[in-house]
Amino acid sequence: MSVVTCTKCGFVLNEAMFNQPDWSHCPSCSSPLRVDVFPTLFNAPAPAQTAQAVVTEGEASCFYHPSKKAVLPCETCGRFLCALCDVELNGQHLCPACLASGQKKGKLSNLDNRRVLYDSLALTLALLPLLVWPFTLITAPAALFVAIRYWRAPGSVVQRTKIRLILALFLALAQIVGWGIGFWAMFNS
Amino acid sequence: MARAEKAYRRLPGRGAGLFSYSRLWLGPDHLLLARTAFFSEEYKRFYFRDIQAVVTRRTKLREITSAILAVTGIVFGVMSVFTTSGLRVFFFVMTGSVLVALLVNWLCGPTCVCHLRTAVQIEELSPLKRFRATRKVIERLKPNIEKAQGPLAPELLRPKPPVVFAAAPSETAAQPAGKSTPSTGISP
Repeated sequence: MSVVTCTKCGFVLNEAMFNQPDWSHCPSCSSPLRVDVFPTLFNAPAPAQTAQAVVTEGEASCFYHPSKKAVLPCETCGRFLCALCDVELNGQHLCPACLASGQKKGKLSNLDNRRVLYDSLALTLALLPLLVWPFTLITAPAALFVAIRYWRAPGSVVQRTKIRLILALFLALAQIVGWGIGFWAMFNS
Repeated sequence: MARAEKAYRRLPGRGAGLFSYSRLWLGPDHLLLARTAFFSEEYKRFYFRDIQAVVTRRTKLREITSAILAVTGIVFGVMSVFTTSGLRVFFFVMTGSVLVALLVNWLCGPTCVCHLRTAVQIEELSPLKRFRATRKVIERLKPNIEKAQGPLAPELLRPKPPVVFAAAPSETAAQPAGKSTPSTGISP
């Protein structure tokens, strides 16, 4: 079983403080604490899986470790995997190679730990320079480029609509049209 | 993928840094901590099956902030009384703003720091700064965690009796009768 410690002084808290309806106080530093614990805290750590050696000749073996017994196939590429090579993610069993390629191509959104927000970038490029409007001559085409180039790029993992990109497109187009009319009027006069 | 991405529901609380902010999202099988800084977002996922404990510690930030705001409000109030015309309006507005901030700070409730514990990490949930929001998040997390881990047996929460280590048997007691302890060679 793991232990739960006070987040201020590191004192190990006892079970009497767990899941109490009111504040408890740390016996060491007297900080008011509320500790909500869950069953995993009391579980013994699961033993690490080890791959079994091939028992008999002709038995299916792991693609990556030919001397180890295969337990299941990769759900993407179908290669046989031993217990060591099997990676479970979202209920799928994948081999390390498919996992790496899925992460690289952005197919496994659960592995993404960072994303660039191109919609916010495009909108900022379209909006912020309006404060110093001559800059829009450069930033409006830039905003337009970002909005079009990254229209299909994966955005935030959490819910976001394309409203920022649409707004950025409209604003950038309006600024470009404005500059066009300005230049046209200037040259005609 | 698009359907999976819509599976997040926003949870109460919002943490703000100098150039960043963070939010918590409830996913189908995990809690997502998203930190946004400028034009990028970083994610940390805490799967329900891995969450061992959530430790909330009450802090005195609300009282400290209230005291600072109250002193500032008093200073601005006094200044507004003893100054003339143009500056007076400015100090009145400042006093009003500080008092509104004081009221909002008080109404938001007690402040806290919340840490989430798994088998291999203790992570501060920076969006949870107010106790009210923290309780709401925990109440929404509990059913999901119980669904993933099963219910918590009440006997696990019973305090265990203190472990008393038996005293090591003395050398004399361990030896069979009739044998004496080895002499130190020093006679009394």
